[in-house]
Amino acid sequence: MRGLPAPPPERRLPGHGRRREELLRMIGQEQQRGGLKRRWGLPLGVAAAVSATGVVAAMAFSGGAAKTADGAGVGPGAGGATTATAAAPTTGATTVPGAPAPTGGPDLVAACKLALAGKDDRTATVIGGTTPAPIDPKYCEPTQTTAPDGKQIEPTDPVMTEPAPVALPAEQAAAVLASCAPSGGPWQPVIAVKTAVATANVDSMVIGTNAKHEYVFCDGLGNAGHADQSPSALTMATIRNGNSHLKEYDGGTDSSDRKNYLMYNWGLVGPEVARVTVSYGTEKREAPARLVGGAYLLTVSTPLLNYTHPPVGYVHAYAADGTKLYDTPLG
Amino acid sequence: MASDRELWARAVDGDREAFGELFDRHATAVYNHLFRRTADWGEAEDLTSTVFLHAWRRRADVVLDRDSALPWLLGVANGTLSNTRRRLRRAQALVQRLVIQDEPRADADHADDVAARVDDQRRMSDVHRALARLPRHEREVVELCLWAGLDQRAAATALGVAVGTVKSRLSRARRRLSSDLGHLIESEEGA
Repeated sequence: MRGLPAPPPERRLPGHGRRREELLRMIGQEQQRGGLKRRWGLPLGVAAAVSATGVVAAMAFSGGAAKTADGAGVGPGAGGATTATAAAPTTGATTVPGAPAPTGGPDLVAACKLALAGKDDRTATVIGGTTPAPIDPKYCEPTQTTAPDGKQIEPTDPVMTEPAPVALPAEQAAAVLASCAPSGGPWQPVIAVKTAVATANVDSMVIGTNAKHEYVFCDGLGNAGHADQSPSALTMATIRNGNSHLKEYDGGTDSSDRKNYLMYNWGLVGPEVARVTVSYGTEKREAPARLVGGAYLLTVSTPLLNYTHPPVGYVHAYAADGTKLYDTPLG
Repeated sequence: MASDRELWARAVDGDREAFGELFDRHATAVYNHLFRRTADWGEAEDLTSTVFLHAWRRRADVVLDRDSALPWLLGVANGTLSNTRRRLRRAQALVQRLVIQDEPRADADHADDVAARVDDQRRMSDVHRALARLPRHEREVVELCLWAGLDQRAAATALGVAVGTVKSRLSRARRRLSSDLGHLIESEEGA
C-alpha cells in the first residue's frame, strides 16, 4: 500500500517445539483438573487428592462502592480478607477421551482407583457398587511435579491472594497522581490503594478524575506514579474494547519481584452498573472489584510459577438487581 | 492432511495432539502478528503461548466456520493484547525468558540475532508512529489484511464485523495513508 512503511520480515517462533510441549503439558493439567471439577462436581479437595493439584484460595474484598471519591476508595463494606476455596461446581464440559461419562464423583474415584492399580476396569468390580466406566489412567495420575530439567513444577491453579485493600495515605496518593496525570487537572483520586503485592515496579494504584470526567490510571512506586495509557486521559467515549455498560480499559500483570504475579484489572462503568467482578482463568468464581465513582479496580497476587502463565482476568458487570450486564468478550 | 476444522473438532473433544498440530500450523503467524502489534519480539513470544492457552480454554465456545483457524486465533490475539499493558508484560516476559532458557546458540549468532531483533523493533516502532494517524479500527484491518495476509472475509471473522465494514475501513485507511504518509515512502525510496 502506498504510504505504508513495510514491517520487518517474519521470523520463526523461537523454541517452537519446547513451547508446544509446554503448552500441551499445561492444557493436559487443566484438562485433568478442569475435567474433574466440571464434570463430576467434586470438591476441590477430592480433586486435589486425585490430581495432586494445589488448592485455589481466594481472598476477596468487598466491592461496596463509596458514594464519593474519597481518595482511598475504601468505602463501607471493604471488610477484611476472607478466604474461600474455589470448590464450587461449575458448568461447561470438557470431553476427555477414555474418561467415564459424568455419572458422579464416586464412580470417578472408583474408576481411578482401578485404573491406577493397573487393573482392567472393564472386568473389575467395585465392592458394594457397580462397575465404573473405564477411564484412561493418565487422567487419574498425580500431576507431574518435576520438569525434565529437575526444576519443581508448581500446580497451574495458583493461590490467588486478594487482601483487604489498604488505602494509600492522602499525601502519597496525591503525589502519585501529580507525577503521572496529564494536563487537564486538577485531578482528584477516586481509588488509591496499595497493590495486593508490592513488586519492584508497582506498589500502589491510583485512579484519578477531573472536572471533565476524564480518568487517569497510575501505577505507583513510592511517591512516583506512571501512566502509560493512550490517550493519556480517558473518558467512557474514548476507552477501547468496551460496550455500553462497561469499558474495561486495562489489565495486566507484573512479576518483577520474581516471586509473585501482581494482576490487576481496571476500567470505567456506566451508571447502570452496580457491581463489577473479575474471574481468573478457568475458575468461575468471581472476585468483587472496587467500584467507586464510575471506576473499578481489582488487584490480586499469585505466586510466580516457573512453568505457567498467570490466569487472565475476565471482567463481569452487574446491575443493582443482580442482572449480569456484561462479560468480557474474548477475541 | 486434516483440515483445521477437523483438528478443531478433535480438540474440542479433548484431543491435545490435534491442538498441538494447530499450534504447529499457526503459532508463527500469531507470533508475527503479535510482534507487529507490540513492536516487541519478546512480548510477542510470551503472548503467543497465552493466545493458544486462551484458545484451548475457549475452544468449545467456537464453531469454526472457515477452513482456517487463523482468523479466530488472531482475534484472540487482539483480545489478549487489549487487556495487556506492555510495560508490565515485558517485565513478565523477561522473567519467563530467564526461567525458560532459550535453546543454546553460538555466541556470535546470538549477538547477530539480538541486533537484528532490536533493528526489527525499532523499525516496527517507526511503522507504529506512521500508523498512529489511523483510527484504531482502520489500523486493525491494515494489520490483518495487509500484514497478516488475511482476506477480507477472514479479517471480518477476526474482528467480529461485517465484510463490508472491513472493506470500507480498508478503503479509508488506504486513502488516509496515501495522502498523509506519502512523504514517508518517498523518503524511504530516496534513502
